[in-house]
Amino acid sequence: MNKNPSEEAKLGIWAHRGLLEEFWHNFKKNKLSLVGGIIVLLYLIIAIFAPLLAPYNPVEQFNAPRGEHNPLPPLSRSAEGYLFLLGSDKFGRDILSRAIYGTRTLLQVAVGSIAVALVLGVWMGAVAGYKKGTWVDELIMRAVDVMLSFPTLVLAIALLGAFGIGKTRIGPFVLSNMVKIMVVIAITYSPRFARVMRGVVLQEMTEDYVDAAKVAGASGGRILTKEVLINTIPPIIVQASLMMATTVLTSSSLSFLGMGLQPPRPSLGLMLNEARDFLFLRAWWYAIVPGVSISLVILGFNLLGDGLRDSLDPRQARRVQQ
Amino acid sequence: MNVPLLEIEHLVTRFYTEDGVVKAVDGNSLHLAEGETLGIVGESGSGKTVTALSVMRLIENPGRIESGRILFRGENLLTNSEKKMRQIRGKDIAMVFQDSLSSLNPTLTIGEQVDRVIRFHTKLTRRRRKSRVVELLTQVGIPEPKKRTGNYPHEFSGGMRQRALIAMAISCNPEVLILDEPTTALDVTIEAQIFELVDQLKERFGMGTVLITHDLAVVANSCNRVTIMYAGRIVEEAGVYALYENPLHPYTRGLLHSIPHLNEEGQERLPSIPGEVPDLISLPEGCNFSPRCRYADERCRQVAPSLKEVKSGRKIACLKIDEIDE
Repeated sequence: MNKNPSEEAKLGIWAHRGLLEEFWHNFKKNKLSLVGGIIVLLYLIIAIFAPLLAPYNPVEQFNAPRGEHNPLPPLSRSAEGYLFLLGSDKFGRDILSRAIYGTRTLLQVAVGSIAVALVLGVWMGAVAGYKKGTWVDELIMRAVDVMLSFPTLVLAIALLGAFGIGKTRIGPFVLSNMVKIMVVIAITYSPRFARVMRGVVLQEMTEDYVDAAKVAGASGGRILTKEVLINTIPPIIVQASLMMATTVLTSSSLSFLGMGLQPPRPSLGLMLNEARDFLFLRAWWYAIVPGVSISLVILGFNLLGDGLRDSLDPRQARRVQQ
Repeated sequence: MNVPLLEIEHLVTRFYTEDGVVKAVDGNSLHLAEGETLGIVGESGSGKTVTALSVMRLIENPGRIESGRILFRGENLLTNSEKKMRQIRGKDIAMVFQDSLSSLNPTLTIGEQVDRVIRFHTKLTRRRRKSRVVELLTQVGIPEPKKRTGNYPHEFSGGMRQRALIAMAISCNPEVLILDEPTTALDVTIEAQIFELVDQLKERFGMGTVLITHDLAVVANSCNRVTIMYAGRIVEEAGVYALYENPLHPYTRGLLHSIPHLNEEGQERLPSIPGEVPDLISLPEGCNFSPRCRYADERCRQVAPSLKEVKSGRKIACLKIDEIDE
């Protein structure tokens, strides 16, 4: 109780260091996760400011100079004199501009599908965990098992195949192709969130604070929504950021296979597919740009996810180290 | 005679585990009067906490309250609806757990958690609740209560957290306060402070208190009556002075003898009770304590003794009572 004033002040600062500061303090210690964070941040900036950053319209076609053919190599100029920093594609479109817009659509799909998957999966998992051992739990988790028994990509292709490509009308709702892809990816990923969520809820429900809340007169639903859910946020954030990497891969794969976004919409997966024909001919740069771009963003999300896991859930990080 | 505040009659609580049936509480009866402090003493696993949780009706699968009655002001809690129980929990009967860090939600501030209890049970406005929270934290002796409401549990010390838990428990002026080993996680100085606080609050609000502990010294200081539990059964019940002066049950004697005394010379080893606490799944026939009891004979191993009043306010469950009592 009798502390000198300076010590008191120090303790005061400590006491008021919020959860966010605490998190940042842990997070910045890990340099690799900082790198991941920076990569992700760069990609987000590119995606958000695509119209400002892209030198040309991504679908505008330019003519190759006389005697040359598209795709043109990096730093060459079109017949009209426009500079292609990273070369042009087979239709004479600027690869840099297409890559920037492609990043935008890729992240849109990834973020959108993770958001939908979270909404679906978190509730399934939370209810299953809360109703542990009852038929509700069994029903949800067996459905999850069934969905997880399909490889993600195969399930996504099957669902897209069933919906068809392009706009889809479901009752009164018209889903654009992009929204449909988001929903399909979300459906394939939501079981994973459900599993993680159920585990976390099961663990949290055994904590003493749940009993303490019951003793205080809280109802079960209130305990789940007001007490337990907030404690499940850190592991779910970690899971979401790690899952971002795989959804990026899935949505690129779908585009690559022609099941995803349709041309002429710029998409990194589609660009890779188009570049395939030129890989061993003369236009190696054609595939490099989307390929490196996809790899980097996946690397970024993975590093970020690892870092988040270590700094948001020190208990788990310690367990992993042991 | 008026109705006691809380009365437990022949309570049986069992847990149906995969290994067998755990007889956690086996036909116990006890009562608590207004303003009285009852100590429940026993080793780990003797059924103290299960008794308390049964009163709160918080026994969960695979556990079940098999039979008995729990009367709160004459009203049987076991037949109440869950909704009714929720209104009673925290308002009429409040409970404080032993581990203050894990009993508080790490992601909510202390203020929010105290406020929550008030919000459940009263219709006070937000502003009134806020001042009530500050008032409560002041009552339990938390310095700078206004500032501290915004702190998270990890920013509190162990003693302060326990004080906050007590603040939550007394927030709606409960009639029964159950303290489940409230100071096990704390050091002795803080322990003394907490009990001083509990005594003050009892004096001020006059609630009946049940103190669950394994520490006989704590009981001696703050209880009126004591109940000794062994392997799910009450073996002795007595006023606190009578118990310490003249323990009757062989188990109680063993317990009191195993307390070290500073002023006793020449004693080399602390006496202990031979044997181990029996497994609650496979309890011995007859008296639960018979395998460890030096007075036990054939009859003790066959017939389970029931709790009988031997003197006024003095109950004991032992068949050899006449031999033991000098």
